[in-house]
Amino acid sequence: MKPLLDVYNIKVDYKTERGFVRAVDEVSFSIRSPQNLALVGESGCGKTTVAKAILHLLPDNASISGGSITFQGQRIDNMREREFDRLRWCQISVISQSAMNALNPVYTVGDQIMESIQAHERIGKREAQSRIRELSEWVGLPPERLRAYPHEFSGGMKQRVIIAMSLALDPSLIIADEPTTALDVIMQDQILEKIVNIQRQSLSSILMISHDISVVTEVCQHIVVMYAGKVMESCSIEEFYEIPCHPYSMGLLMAFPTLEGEVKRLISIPGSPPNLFGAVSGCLFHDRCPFRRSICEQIAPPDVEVSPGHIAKCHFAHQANEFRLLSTREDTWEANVA
Amino acid sequence: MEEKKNAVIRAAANLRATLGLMFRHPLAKAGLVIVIVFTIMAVFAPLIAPYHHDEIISDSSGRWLSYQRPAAKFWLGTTDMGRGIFSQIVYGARTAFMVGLLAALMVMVIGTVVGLVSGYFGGWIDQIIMRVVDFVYGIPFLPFAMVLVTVLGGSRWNIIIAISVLLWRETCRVVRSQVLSLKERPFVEVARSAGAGNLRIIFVHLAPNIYPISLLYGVFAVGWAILTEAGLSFLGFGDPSSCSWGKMLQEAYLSQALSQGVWWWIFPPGIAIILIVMSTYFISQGIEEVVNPKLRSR
Amino acid sequence: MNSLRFFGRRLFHSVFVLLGILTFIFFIFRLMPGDPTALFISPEMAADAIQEIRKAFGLDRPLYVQFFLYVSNVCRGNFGISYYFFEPASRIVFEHLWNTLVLTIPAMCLSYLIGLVGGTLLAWKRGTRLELGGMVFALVLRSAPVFWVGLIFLYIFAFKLHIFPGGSITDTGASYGGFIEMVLSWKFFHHLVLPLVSMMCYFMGLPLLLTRSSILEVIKEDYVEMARAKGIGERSVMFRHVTRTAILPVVTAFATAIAYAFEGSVLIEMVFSWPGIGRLMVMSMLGNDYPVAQFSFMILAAMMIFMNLLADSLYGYLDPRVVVQ
Repeated sequence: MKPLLDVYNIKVDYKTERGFVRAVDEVSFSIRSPQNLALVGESGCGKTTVAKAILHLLPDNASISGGSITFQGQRIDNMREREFDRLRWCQISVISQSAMNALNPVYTVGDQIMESIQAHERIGKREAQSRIRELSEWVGLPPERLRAYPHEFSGGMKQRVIIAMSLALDPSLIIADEPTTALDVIMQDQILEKIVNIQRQSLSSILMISHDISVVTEVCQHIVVMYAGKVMESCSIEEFYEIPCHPYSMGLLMAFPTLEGEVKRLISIPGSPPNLFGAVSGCLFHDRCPFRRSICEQIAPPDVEVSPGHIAKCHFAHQANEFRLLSTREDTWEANVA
Repeated sequence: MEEKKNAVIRAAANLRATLGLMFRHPLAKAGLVIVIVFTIMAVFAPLIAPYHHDEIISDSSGRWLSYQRPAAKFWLGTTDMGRGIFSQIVYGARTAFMVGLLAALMVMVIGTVVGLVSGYFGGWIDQIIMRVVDFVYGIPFLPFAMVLVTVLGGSRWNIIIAISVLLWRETCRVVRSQVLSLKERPFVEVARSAGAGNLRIIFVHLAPNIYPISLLYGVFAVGWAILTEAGLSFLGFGDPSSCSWGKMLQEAYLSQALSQGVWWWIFPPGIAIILIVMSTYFISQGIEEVVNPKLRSR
Repeated sequence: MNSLRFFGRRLFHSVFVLLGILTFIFFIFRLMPGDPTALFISPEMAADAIQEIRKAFGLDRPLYVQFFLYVSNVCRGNFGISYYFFEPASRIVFEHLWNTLVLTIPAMCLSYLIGLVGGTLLAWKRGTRLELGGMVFALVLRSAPVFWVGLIFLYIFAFKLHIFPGGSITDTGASYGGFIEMVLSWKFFHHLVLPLVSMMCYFMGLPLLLTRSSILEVIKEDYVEMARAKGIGERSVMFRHVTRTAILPVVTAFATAIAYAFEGSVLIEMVFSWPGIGRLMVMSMLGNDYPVAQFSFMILAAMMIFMNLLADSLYGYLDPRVVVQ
């Protein structure tokens, strides 16, 4: 079966005062409907850039310098704007992280949802309004609030509006970029629940972007871990939790709390992501990796297929078992402080 | 003693860094060049100008050398009464600087202090001051200046006063809103809980965040003041004893320079004003880079 | 309905400010050189006229009585008799006011229209030489004294090229049935062009620069990106989202600028001998016609207060966030 979204070897470069930065380097993944995929990594690892590349929302100084993006069998990375506009929202919609500012302050929220519908479908106002009411009820928004302005809403309510809006045209793919980051824990839970329900109701696939792996666990079946613009590991969510093969993934798992399993102390991976301006040789994670060897500094690691559908970019992916045991001990990480 | 010396060194280094940032912008550099040229003109006027601005130039037989076209002898020609226009431009720079800088300084000081007090103390002090500002906003600028000059007499000082008395309202408004937004910031609370008194908070903690924008509006005020002075002099409400570019234009207009085609009298004063006011806008671009870091990443 | 209450509050407010200004005018004009009674009485008036005015304004009574009479006269619309014209000052001033309005309002509207369009163009062409040239042009416009621009235009187009007349509101000797008839005449238009364009030059600078910077700021906003993501088309994004929010500061600037435009008109009216309220004020100040000078000042102040009120209310109406404060 053809994948819904196929991102293949995508490279995105930013042009800055100090030169070119490769923010995304040969990133590949695919999403098969109706599954959801999580794109995780630290701030600045390039995950939002990938999303923007898919959506044709890259800023002026950024450009796709290689690779391809295919959606429903069609190439979209080089599609003309007018054509792509037709796909926008009715096939691919967005739940953005800055819901705080994603709504225009001078229009009511109802109007803004209506706008997204009327841009693509020729349906009567009344029909559109009833659909909007349905959607708002579904996300838990009282319909009379549709006539209010964005600044009159709390953060959680605004996020619900954004979610309702993203579903307005029943798209096949929803890109959710840090949808719960700006919310408190209780609200996070409610919103996540809604997102999970989206799948059950509408068969849309979700591309979920987050730095918090505990958030994506509930929603996604596959996970892609990014670091400094490259994919470190890509596998199913179960395999990620049970048999992670990349040291970075192991570090992430140790850094986030889980409800089940034994109580453990959280660690933080010492160090910070590399400066992408200079040329970096070898593995980009080597300076923070507790298991590094000399080869890691010199030669860039290959993509190793550990098992069908499970790829890890590490020289020692096949020795992951040993690393896994060591990674559960705090002193492994603490000893690595440079 | 050692501590104080270090503090001074640090402040000087800070200042140098800030100035460097301000003038990095190409426009700001251009503005600075223009200002320097005119400053030299103003300060060394008697050395640069071939004649005094009032001096009537006559030929060997005692006849006034009126309406001379620009030539090697008189760079910008002469007026109807045989006065050197280039010399007048040079001396006019003095008036422009004096009025511009002094008025701007007063505007900056009054506006900043009032804005700080009003914004920081809030309550009824703020209410009263805001009513006064509303009142000041309702007074038409030029007519008021005309009335004041008529009442107090036409001298450069009175013009400066007339300008400052109204122009501070803009600075005050801006400073006040800046203070209002800064007042709630954590660093103020921290200072207060550490026992800092009001005056200390205002001058030591808030002021460093305020003076860039205060300076920005001060620079704008220089331009506005120069334009206003030119307007007042043109209308006849200026200082009759001093030489100003506005007065030059008034004389040109009254002596029918337009219909007589004396273009060398009409263009230079205006161009001089344009250059100086534009330089204030250019320099303000540089200041904005400091005030508004968002603009910096290019 | 919030905006209506907002307006009401500001209106109430403005009335107080106006009263304050009236008081201020009362005192400051009393400081003018010369005999205070000279504020109202010209030695050339008829004796009974002098008596009447003495009574109406209480010129030999104590100051507080004078002030009270002043206020009651203001309320009744009695502002004294002009020395120069021997007619009620109010009538003279209002006649001249129309001449100013017919010059200032079109000038401001056109300036802001051109400024809006030009500024949008400059923002669109970000980073090109056109943008840089446009910005320098706008700055030059803002730096040139408005009366000097008038002088230059007069020099080139009236005295050198003889395309336009050298001033005044219409040809000497021309007579019309009324104000409207004059305004609609070709001669009037012919005389209007140069002062109008001069004023426009000065006022165009601000909307040009402001529109450009406003659009550049708004275009970076997240909701603009969201609008684009919704696939509504680049044109809709520009008009419905960018421009709508970006013009807010320009609209407020417009309302405030009209207030300042009346002052700018003083200078233009002098250069072009245009019989407006600005020129009237200057001439009356220089000629010691104090009733007229005082009333012109009053009118100008009232207009400023009113325009500021309008500007505040307009902003409150356009930006729903403001009214909540």
